[in-house]
Amino acid sequence: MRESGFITDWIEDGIQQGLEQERQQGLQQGKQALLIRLLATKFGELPQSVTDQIQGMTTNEELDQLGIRILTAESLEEMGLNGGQSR
Amino acid sequence: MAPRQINLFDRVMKILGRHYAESFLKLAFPNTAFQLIGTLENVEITLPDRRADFLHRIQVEGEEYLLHFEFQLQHRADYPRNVFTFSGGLTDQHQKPTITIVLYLERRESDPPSEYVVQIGEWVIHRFTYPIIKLWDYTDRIRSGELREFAPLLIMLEREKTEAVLHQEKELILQETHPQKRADSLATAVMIASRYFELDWLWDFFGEEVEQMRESGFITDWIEDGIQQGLQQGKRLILIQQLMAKFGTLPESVTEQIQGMTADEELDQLGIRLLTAESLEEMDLNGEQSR
Repeated sequence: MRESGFITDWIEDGIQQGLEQERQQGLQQGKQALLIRLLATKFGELPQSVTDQIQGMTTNEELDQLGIRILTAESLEEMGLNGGQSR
Repeated sequence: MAPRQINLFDRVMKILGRHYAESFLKLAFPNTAFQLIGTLENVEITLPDRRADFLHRIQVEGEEYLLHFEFQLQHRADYPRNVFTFSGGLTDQHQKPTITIVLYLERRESDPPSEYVVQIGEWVIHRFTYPIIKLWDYTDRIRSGELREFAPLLIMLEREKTEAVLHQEKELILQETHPQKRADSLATAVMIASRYFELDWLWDFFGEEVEQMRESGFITDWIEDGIQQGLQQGKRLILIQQLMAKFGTLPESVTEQIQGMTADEELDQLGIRLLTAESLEEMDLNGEQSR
């Protein structure tokens, strides 16, 4: 019987799936970080509620769409970023 | 072997280079007492597509040097030139003399070169030499316990990859009394042995020790390394989609250029320029390595 546990799972994941879990987690963090920086560059300092809203987005579609909308949007409201009040 | 495994293996070696800098230095310069005074992370180098995960800062006789390790599985013909340009790039960027040590990991019959030479016929104009360490020369000293920290490498260094070698590795590692170091070595041993043995078999072989690996900081390093790689890939994906949304289909050279960007700040700046740019050219994205 093999031991099951964090370490076996982790190394096995690492070897067999190329650290997919960590990469996926990092992937979303990277997208969120870039979007927050771009939004702050375009619209000035962001309310905490908006950064929270972005950090709460966990699907790739959501984050990718935000990246495309920022290219043309004139305001945070237009992007549906209002701190999640109407979501 | 799958490329992904090479990549993982490469990471194991980098982690060893990071943690065992002093041990490796001793192999290259047994009679010189270097003092490790720091480590620089994520070093950008003013050469296209080149970057070092880390560089050590070392000091000897009051002088500071940068220390760079290169781990090589197989020898490539263009390698000496790479060592030369890489060392030059680092020296230029940091204004400090740079020591590059090349460590060869897999036994080969002929000696790998240790110099970059510019010559016209037989006439040597320039000669740049660098120390190379053939790790397989040290198996006896690893076995004797003198270089016990390199025990996880034994299976790679020996000609025959047998269970008996793994047994020796395990015994050597278990002699280490420091729990953290023992855990690091065990984790490294499994990673390296996975090149030659089935994982299922390895888990059984290291069965009793698996729980001890929990202590290993290397595991955390691997996880963080994975997150960091994902982080940059996330930024690249957003940027490529934004560029496509703005400028239409991208030439492959442009996506390649973005895939080659490994600095967070470089990726962020690209995104910021994209907010106002009207064309790919304006963004310095022409698929050329213009850096």
